[in-house]
This record gives sequence, structure tokens and C-alpha cells, in this order.
Amino acid sequence: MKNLLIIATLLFVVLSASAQIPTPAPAQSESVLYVNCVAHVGNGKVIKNAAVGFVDGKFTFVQEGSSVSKSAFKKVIDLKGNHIYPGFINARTDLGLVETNAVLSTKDNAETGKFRPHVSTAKSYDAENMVIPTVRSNGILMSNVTGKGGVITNSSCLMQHDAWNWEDALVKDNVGIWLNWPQKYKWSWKQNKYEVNKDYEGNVNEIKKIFNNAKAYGNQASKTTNLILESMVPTLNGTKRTFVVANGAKEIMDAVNTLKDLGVANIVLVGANDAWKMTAFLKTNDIPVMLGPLKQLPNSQDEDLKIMAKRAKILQDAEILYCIYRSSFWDGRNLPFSAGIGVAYGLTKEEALMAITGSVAKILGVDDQVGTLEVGKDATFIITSGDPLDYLTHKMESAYIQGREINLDDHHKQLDAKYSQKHGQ
Amino acid sequence: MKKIILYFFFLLITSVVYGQSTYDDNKVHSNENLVYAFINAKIHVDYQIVLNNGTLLIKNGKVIKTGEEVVIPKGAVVLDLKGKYIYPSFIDLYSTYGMPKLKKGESSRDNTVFSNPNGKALGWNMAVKPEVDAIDLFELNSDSAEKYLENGFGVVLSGQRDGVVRGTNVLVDLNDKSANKSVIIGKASTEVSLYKGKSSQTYPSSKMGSIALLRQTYLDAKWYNQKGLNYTDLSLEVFNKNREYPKFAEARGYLDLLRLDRIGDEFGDQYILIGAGDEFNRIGEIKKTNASIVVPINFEDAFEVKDPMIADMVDLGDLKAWELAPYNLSMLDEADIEFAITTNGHKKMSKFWIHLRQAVKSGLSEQSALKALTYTPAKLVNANETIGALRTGMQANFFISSTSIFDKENQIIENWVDGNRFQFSDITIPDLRGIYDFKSDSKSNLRLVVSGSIGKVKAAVKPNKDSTSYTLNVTLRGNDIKINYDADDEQGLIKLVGTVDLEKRQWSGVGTKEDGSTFNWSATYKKALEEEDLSAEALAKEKQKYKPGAVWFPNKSYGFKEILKTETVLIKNVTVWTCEEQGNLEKTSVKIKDGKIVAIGKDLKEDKGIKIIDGTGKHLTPGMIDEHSHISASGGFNEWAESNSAEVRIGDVLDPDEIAIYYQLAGGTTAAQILHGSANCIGGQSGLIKLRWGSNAEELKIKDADGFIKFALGENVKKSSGGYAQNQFPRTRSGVEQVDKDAFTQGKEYLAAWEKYNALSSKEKLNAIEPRRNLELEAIGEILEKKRFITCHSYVQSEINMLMHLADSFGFTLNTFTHILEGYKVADKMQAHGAGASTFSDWWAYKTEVMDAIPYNAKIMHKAGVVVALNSDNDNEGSNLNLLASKVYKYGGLTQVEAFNMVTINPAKLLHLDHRMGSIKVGKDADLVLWDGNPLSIYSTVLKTYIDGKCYYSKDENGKKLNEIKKERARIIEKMIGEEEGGGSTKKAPVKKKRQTVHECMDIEMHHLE
Repeated sequence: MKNLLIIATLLFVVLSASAQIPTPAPAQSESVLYVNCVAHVGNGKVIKNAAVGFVDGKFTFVQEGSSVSKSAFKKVIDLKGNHIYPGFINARTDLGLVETNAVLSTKDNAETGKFRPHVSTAKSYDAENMVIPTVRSNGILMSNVTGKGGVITNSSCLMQHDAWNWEDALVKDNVGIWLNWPQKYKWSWKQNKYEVNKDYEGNVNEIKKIFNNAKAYGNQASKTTNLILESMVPTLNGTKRTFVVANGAKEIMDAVNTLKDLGVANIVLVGANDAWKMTAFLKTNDIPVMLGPLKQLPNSQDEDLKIMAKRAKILQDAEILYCIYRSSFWDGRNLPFSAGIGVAYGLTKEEALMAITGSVAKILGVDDQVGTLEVGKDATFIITSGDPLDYLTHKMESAYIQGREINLDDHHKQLDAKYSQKHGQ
Repeated sequence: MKKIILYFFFLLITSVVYGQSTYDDNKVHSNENLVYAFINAKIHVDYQIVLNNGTLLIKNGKVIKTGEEVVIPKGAVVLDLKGKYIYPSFIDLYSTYGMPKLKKGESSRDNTVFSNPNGKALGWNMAVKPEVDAIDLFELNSDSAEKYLENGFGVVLSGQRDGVVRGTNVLVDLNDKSANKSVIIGKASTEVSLYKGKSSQTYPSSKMGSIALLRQTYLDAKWYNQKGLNYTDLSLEVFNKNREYPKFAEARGYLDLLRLDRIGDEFGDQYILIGAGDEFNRIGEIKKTNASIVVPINFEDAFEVKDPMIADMVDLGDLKAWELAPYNLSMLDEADIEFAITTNGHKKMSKFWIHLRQAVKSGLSEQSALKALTYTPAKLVNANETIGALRTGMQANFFISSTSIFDKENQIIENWVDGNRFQFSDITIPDLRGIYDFKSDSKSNLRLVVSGSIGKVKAAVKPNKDSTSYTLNVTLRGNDIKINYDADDEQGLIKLVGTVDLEKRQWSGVGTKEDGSTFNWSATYKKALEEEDLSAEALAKEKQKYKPGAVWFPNKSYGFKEILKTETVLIKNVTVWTCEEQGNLEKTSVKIKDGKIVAIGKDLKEDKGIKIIDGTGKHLTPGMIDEHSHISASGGFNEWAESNSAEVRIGDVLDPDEIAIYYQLAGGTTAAQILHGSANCIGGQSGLIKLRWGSNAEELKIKDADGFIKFALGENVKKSSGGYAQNQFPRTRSGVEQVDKDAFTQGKEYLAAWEKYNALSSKEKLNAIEPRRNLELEAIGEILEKKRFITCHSYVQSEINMLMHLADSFGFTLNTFTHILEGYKVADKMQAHGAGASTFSDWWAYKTEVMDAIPYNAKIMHKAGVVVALNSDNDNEGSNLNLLASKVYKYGGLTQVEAFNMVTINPAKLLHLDHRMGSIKVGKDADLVLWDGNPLSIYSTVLKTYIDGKCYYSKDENGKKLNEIKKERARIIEKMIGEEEGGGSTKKAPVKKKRQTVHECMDIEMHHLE
């Protein structure tokens, strides 16, 4: 009895000690080579019997394994046929900005005001947010973090998910501004139907005005600093992206045409429910697309029941650059399965994978740095024993961010252990 | 003819001879004691009898005689109506004529108004107001009367038309002189509805709340009818008295119409149903109500859909409704359903006639139309001895029209009501409108087309064959006519002068050309306008063009064209997920017949004629069951006005037409518990349904299913997120306990009171007071008697534990904790109590009480011996319940079968349906899903979904349906564009894309309440 008590006490201490955010991993100290694995590069290619090596946080070798010089690596590990995938990137989320959605004081995802392009999300990103480990333990290792509301919501930042603080977490500052295109038709809860948005033209004019002002501001030789306009100038030279959220066909056309006319350089269409209807238009204008979850019911009763899932394949066939995101912070952990749905409706598995890895990096303009298993890029990847896009086979063996093996523990696993223990399971 | 030009001109009839008079100048009052004789008219004595050359005698507002050979008494004022028509004035049963405008009372979401604030000895709820008698409120109003009068109406049934239980309506004629004389029947009818109206009291806050209130009012009134109560409720007193009157029930749609009829049936009242004009959606069911229906004909205008992107904003259901609406009356008539027509819904009364003629053009016989405007409405308020026809002794309410009322050129000239004469144009002006042969010395073979209204005609001259016409400027003084027209380039301006023989409609005179030369001209009446140009062939063509599409079930996208048949099917060589102890059976066959699973085995006989499905490589599972869904409930699924609303029933408001049903089917879900929301501690009674798409609301229900009721705990019921009902008890978890404890205590006492009463001998009962039936406590009593089972929305362990203790103390077991995200913390206690769990698979972090929610919850509870199901809470999750099981499998490390059971046999157990559903077993319902792969894989999709052996969803068929949807859309859109281009009235799209994206517990709908 006494022994039992001691064990229980010890267990309690151990469990309580682990009931916290896992400690970030230290920088990669020795070179590592994985051999005998299947490398899913994230650009559509699969290398069977691959060898993947990385040094100082960067890939130095990704190829068929027979040619590798093992002696160049300090540690050589046989993966026995397991798979390596690039870490998944959520292209749009408020992860790190919110802890409990209904509690205002835990929320840093919605600034006030209509135009807030100067508000950059990194400073709100809480590296010790308890939700983050639950998301990364499914393989989502980076997120383009944005927020909600306003006409221009903020500037998003690309964050990696194993860090002591926001500064360490930052992969790329100010990736782009988030523009909510006004809706031509608004749902009226009172009338239980869509109504024409009478303010549409006015809303569009407001958008035109701020971009035009930014242009004028950028051209001024000497100026009084205006933080808002200052933050918008890079959207005109393309160093900052403009993520425009538009869903209806009309709005998509208006958004793209208007922004092009305004001289906005790097437009990314987000949401894009109706994008599948207008592939030629998007192709002509060379607009990449970010799609929301593929498992959604259609917006119109008359549509194909599975159109939301099929739209990825339609964009794929039209050779439009696209990716898939999940915008809700905690639900970002389902990102790989959202891509998996695309496979059920026409994509190949590697195409689906691209939509949450390589293509995201391209759309965000960070493909020189992350997104695929390619030499020179960050060694941010996961090792799995099966196909991570399917619930049936999703099994994380380990994960690395910038060459650092991260701790995959999280709040949920801790509670699972604690209460499984309690119930003697 | 060098140029083809289309010209119009105006023919102005001045007031020199044919002066338009105001009402007052010509008004003749009934007390003059004069006999009026209307002769030479075509008289519709009633909707059936027509006198071609009849005489109508009236005196003091009463009909003395109608007939073809009537002796006109000496001294009678004779009005010769040669060529004109007389009809009995119309009767409108849905009117608020003469009623004061109602204001909405003060109310806000923030604070609940619990009881009737009026301080009188009336009923407890402001929406129950049988004491309001329209006759007390009625005042003459000549402005609104005129709108009816000029359109041929003479009598209306008027009332306040506000509230769930309404008072009496008054039947009044539209004379503008005396309210005293207006009243035909002071209390002609009474009325109920499902709409709360202007009441500022919070309850009811949903449609099912309105229904519960109506039901409780019936019961209260019955209870009130006993002696010795020592309690006064004037509302109930009046309600009892009013039961002798014809009872109307106002429905704002065919589903409400059917709902109301069911309630009437429950209490032995056959309502006369006030419909919404959309009865065509469910004619068969409406026929079965045996009710008479008051039907509006305010057909929607065509939408402006030339822009295909805008056309996309209109749903096929709305397109089909637009197309079918004009056929509604003919469909009702064909089904032999008695109906009266109301003008209700028409913002512009002039549209009433356009729509009525449209209905006739769409197949309604003229006689039926007339009947529905005269005889039927009179009969429905027991006034057909007085009004609705022109027989001796009846009220002389009639109107005079220039021609048949169904002729679009017809004009109502006078309307006589109760001895009062209302003139809209001069009765002596002949109708010059029509098509004339136009001849002159220089031209022949021309037509003069005269249209417009009698007082103000328009005209054009056209050649007989082609479409060329000439400009004409015409003035008419007396019977002198002056016409100017620009004939063509050679002749320039031509002036015509002449006279019109008004009697013979013969025009003639002299014309002058620009060069001064003169010629003679004439125009002879040939035929009426309507007959123009339409050959029989053209008519047939026209009819074909306007033929509407068939009604689908439901009448929208993915609806069925025909009623589904039960199939006999053998699915061979398939992986069978039995969800029974034997687990999965590889390469096995399953046979279904008569809606049941009849055989499972390796080598099943291929019966003759049986449909064979090759299941090689495929998986067959039981239909999935959703323990927690909010789809298919209309008018709000939260009755949040009180902490205990056990009396409301989701089963009262099921919407069988909601597209979400089909979405769930397409994902392999076949049954669901439709739950009340979680806005209050004790919600309402569940509706257990099978997702029988295309059926009616009653057919959705699972017959003989046990009764369930929703309870809720935590942040929602203590209103933590703010925004509504902030003054409502409770605001703490301990307060929640008290609400529940109070309910169970009361329920216990309620049962005891009834037990005591029922134990009395019949003699003793005579002197005892029967307890009041209380539907709220009755439901609670059922829980205590283990006849109704609780499914309780819950999150944190403290409250879960609390409720189990409470249930133990009242001697019953909680059936299910739903959502139950911290169930894993108290799984041992749940197991000991015997409660089941229905949980989300991985939701968390959306509020404080879910911060410890983990995706391992289902696993831990399952391992602790709790029956665990996975639930959707919204239509998106419910369209892929299998993926919820997939998540549990991924996180929890259970076997695939254990995980999948959580969406099949386990929810069946929790809903007490496992004897019929939830597994593949001989004798169970043939509710099956065929998959193209392992149902737990994200890559798998549903190929077929069967319920009761009927194939409700098939991937292949669905593709065909999608094509049909596109075709049907294109067809109707083309028709709409035709309407717009043809100058029909149109309105801007978009309209009603009605699919709501989520149906989660806390959705509170305010917009349905009025």
C-alpha cells in the first residue's frame, strides 16, 4: 500500500511536471542522414528508397539513396521504409493569436478599425499558446498567421511552431496584407435570404482610395510618415502579397480586375468558393488561389453536392497554382485531412500534398526557403509510418523544424495519459 | 408602304357629355325606398347560373328578384346594361379592413419578459388573446374600402389577426356610410396561428413554442370549464365560448398549414386553413386534411436573371415555385379541395386581377374561380344565405362590368354594396374598344385597334397582314371625332374629322391630306380585342410554352420525381461491417427485401428478378445514426424564453424539405435525433427521424420510437456569452441544479396529484377538481416514470456528476450525456450510473468549458464501459459521420470496428433503436450504405444509401439529378427572361438561397417569431 502510494505520488509529480507546453528543441548540433525512406518532396515528386540529409537546419541531400556518402553525416538512421514529408504549412489561420475563442481576453486576432494593414500579427503570436502543440503534433509545422475582420485585416506573418518567443518563431515577417472584398450579396438573417448589398460600390471605392493613396504616398519625395500607407506601399511593388478574400464569382472578378487596375502586384485569391467556375479568368490573370476546407457543403442548393471537394481538382486540371488552408486556429490540425478529401475527389496524393506544402510556399513567396524537401531549404519535415493525409494511416513518428527534432507532446496527450491512468486503462 | 412604323394615339373623351362623376353626387341611399331595375345584362346569379339577358331588381339593398322575364314594377329606376355583366360582389376572408394598426410591444433579447404585463384577469401569455373581438375595434374606413370596391369586392372578413390564439373576426360589407349597417355577422369566426405577433412577452420564442402554447391553451380551457375553481381567466372563458364559431388557422406556408391541421385534429377542430399559395408543393397531403383553404394569389414577379451570375443567386426551388404558383388553384381544384381566394398579399390590388386571370389561363375554370370568390367564402362563414349570390332576399352586393371578368380588357364600372352605389366610370359610356375595319378612299385593308380603358381609350391603325401602322392623333367630342395622322412620306400629315355612332360602334367622316385634297373614311367594329391573332394552333403553342415542370418531392434541387419503391437487392461479395459481435465479414452477401435485411451469407440464392449489386472491393455498412442533429427543424430549435421548456416538441416543426437531409444521405447517414438547442436548462422533446428525403414531415418520424428530451448544462444555459436573457435564472452551475431539481420536484407532485385524482371513484370525481394538465410537467413526469429519456448537453465533469446525483435522487437514469467533452474525467461514474455518451470527435478551444476537451475522450469512455456515440451538431459534420469515427480511430487507437460502431450501433443503442437499426443483422431495417472503400478512410465515398430498402441516394443517380437540375434551371430561366423581355413585371434577383450553413446548439432565431 505504501509502495503504491509512492508510485502514485511519483506519477502525479511526473504528470504535473509534463502538464505544460513542451520545451522548444535546441538548434541542430550534428548532421543527420535518414536512409531507406520514401521522400515525398512536396513538388509532386516521390523518391523511393531515398536518403535525406540535413546539416545546421538545412537539407544538404535529398536523393535516391544509392548515391549518398554516408560518412559525410554524423548520424545515419535507417527509416525502414517510413515516409518523409515536408512539414505542412497552414496558409491562413489565427493559430497563436487565440486560446479560448469565447474569451475576449485570450483573443488577439481581431484589431479594431476598417483598415489595419500596418498591424503585423507576429507581435500577437504567443509561442506558448497551448493550442499550438496540438496542431503541430499532426504535422502542421508552420502557419501564415492572420486574423479576422476589417476591410484590411492585418499583415500576416509566417511562423514556425517550435519557439521560445515570437521572434524565434518568425520565418517571414509581413508576408502580405489581408483584404476582405465586400460582398455583393449579403445574407439577411431577418429575411432569411440573400439581399443586394447596397453599399457594395461605396465599399469598393474605399478600397480603391486607400490603394491610390498608398501609391501617391509611395511616390512622394518627402513625406510625413503614415504607418497605414507606408505598410501598403510594398503591395504595389510586389514585395508584399495582397491576399484578397472573395467567394462569389462576381466578387472574384471585381476584386481581381480592380486590384490589377490599381497596380497591385502580387494578388492571391482566398476563399474562392466560385473560383472553379472561372478558371480561364484566373489563368489569364495568373492569380493563385487559396481554398478553404474541402469538406464543406455547397453554398447553393443547386450545386453538385461535392463541389467544394471537387474544386481542387478543377483548379489542378486548369493548371492554376492553389493551396488549401483551414482557418480556425484549433482546427488547423485537420489540414492534412482536408487535402486528403481532395484525393477522394480526383487529386493524386502528391498533388494533394503540394496543396499544403510546396504550393503554399510558392503562394506565400517563401519557396526558396521552405515547403519542399530540397537541398538548401529549411529541414522542416515529418516522419510518418503511413500516409498522413488519411485518418486511417496518419501516424507521426517524429517531426523536425529547421533541423531540430521537436517534442510532439501536447495538452491533449497529457490529459489522455493522466486520465487513462486514473481509469486504469 | 415604305416605312414600317408603330404608332399609338389617344382618344380622349371629354366631360361635355360623358362627365365622370364623384361618388357622392350620384350616391343613392337605400332609405329612398326605390326599386332599381338592371336590365339587359348578362347576370351571374351565382357561380353557376348565368342569365344571358337578365333583369335584376333590388330595393333597400336587398335582391327582390333576378330572372330573364321579370316584370319591372312601376316607378322603378331602370338602368339599361346592354352588353354588360353583373356578378355577385366578391368576398375576401382575410382582411384587416377597419382594424386599428397594431404596434409591437417593447421587448429585447437581453431580458426575458416572463409574464403578461397587462395586469388584467386575462391569460398568462400575450400571444393568447381570444378576448379581442374585431367587432369592438371595427371602424369604417372609406379609403381602404375603395381599394376593395373598385376591384369587385363587397364583403370582407376582418380581424386583428395577431397572436397565436386570436379572437373573433367580423364579417362586414364595404359600405362607407354606416358601420352599424356594415356588420353582417358580428362574430363570424375565430382564429389561431403559429405566429406570436406583436406580443412583447418573450415566450414563445420559436414556432414549436407557439404550437405548445396553442396546445396548452386548449387544455387549459378544458380545465377551466369545471366548477369550483375559484380562479378567473377571461381569456380562457372566451376561448371556450368561441369554440362554436368557424375556426380559421393562418399558415404562412404549406408546411405550417399541415402542422396546424394536425393540431386541430388533436383537439377535434377542423380548421379552415389560411394558406400561402404554395399548396402545390404537397397537394396530396393537403387533400388529406379535409380542410377548406383560403388561398392568396399574389404570385411572385419573375426575377431579372439575364446575367448568368445573378441567375446563380436564385435557387431552383424558387424558380419552380415561381413557375408553379399560378397553377396552384387549378391543382387544388383538380384535387377537389375546397378553396376561397383572398387578395391578401397584394400590395397593389390591381395585380389581383392580373393574377386571377393568370390562374384561369393556367387551368382554373372560370366557374371555380367565381365560386372561390363568392359561394365558398360565404359558405365558410355560414353566410351563404345572405351573400355570395343574387337570389331573392339576399344582400344586393354586386358589381357591373364591361365584359366578362376574365377578359383582360374588362373594367368594373360600378359596385353596389348594401344599397350603396359606387361608380368608377360612367355606366352609359359604350365600350368602344375592339378591332375595326378601317377604310378610306385611298386606303383599304386597314384595321383600327382600340384598347385602353372605357373612359380613356388608346388606339392604333394597322394593316391587316403586316405590322405596319400609322400615327393617329384622335380627339372625340360628344360623338364628333378628330384624327390626325402621319400616313407616310408621300402624303404627309392627314387630318380626319367625323362622328362615331356609339351604339353601332361605327366611325365615319372626311379626311384631308396635306395637299388639301379630301377623302371619305370609315371604321366598322369587327371583333373584341382578345380574339386578335390567336389561332387555335397558336393558342396550343402558347399553352405548351407555358406548361410548367412537374412538382418534385421536395420541389427543389435533388427532389424526387416519383415516389421511391422498396427494392429487393442482393449485394454480393462485399466487405460487411456488421457492427455486431462478429465484426467484419469479408466477401459476403446481403439480401434485402420488403425494407428488411433478410439474409447474410456467403452463397445466397439469386432469386428471380432480384437486383444484383457486385460488391467486390466495396464495403457495406449499416446506415449511420446521428445522435445529435439540428437539421430539418423550422422556426427555431431553441425555445429559450424560459429555463424549462419541456413542453415543446421538435416533432411539431420538422421540415422534410430541408436540403440538409439529402446532404446527410449522401454521406451515409440514415437516421438522426433532431434535438432542441442548448439555450436553456430543460429544452424540448426530440424528433427521431429517418432521413426519408421526399416524404412528408410525419413520414420522417420513426414510428414507436421512445420519447427523448434535451437537457443542457454549463455556459450556454447560464448565458455566459451574454447577448440574451441576462435576467434569466440560472447564472451559475449550482443554479442549474436548482432549476432541474425544481422541475423534477414539481413533476413528482404533478404525477401524485393525478394519481390521487385518478384513484377517485367516478362519483367522487364529480365533486373533485380535475388537476390541470400541464404539458411541461407531463414531460418531466414521463422522465420520472422512465417513459421519456434525457439526452443532456454537457461539458465539464462537475455538472455531469451533479446531474447524475440528481437523477439518482429521483430514481431514474440519465440516458445520454451529449457533447460530454470531459466525460473522460468521470467515465467511471458514468459507467456506474449507466449513462451513455455522445461526443464530438475533436472539437475544442471554442469556449472555456471545452479547454480540456480531448480527441481521446471517446476512447477513454469506451474503455471504461460507457456506450459511446459520435455526434455532428451541424449539417456539415453530419454529412460525413464516418470521418468522426476516423478521428477517434486515429487518436484513440481503438479497433476500426470499435470506432465505427460509434456512428452505427452505439447511437442506435442510445436512441433505443438498436432492435431495428445500427447493425447488419437479419430482421433489421434495410438501412444500408455501400462504400467504394473502407468507410474510415478519407478517400472513400458513398455509392448508395438505403433506408427501409429504398435507395434514397445513389452516386450515379445523383449525377443524373444534377443534369436534370441544370436543365430545369435553364428552362425556367429562359421563361423568366421571356417574361422580362415581354414586359411582364419583374424584380431583382437574388431571392432566397435558404440553406443555412450550420445548425448548432446555440443558434437562436429571432426572425421567425412574428
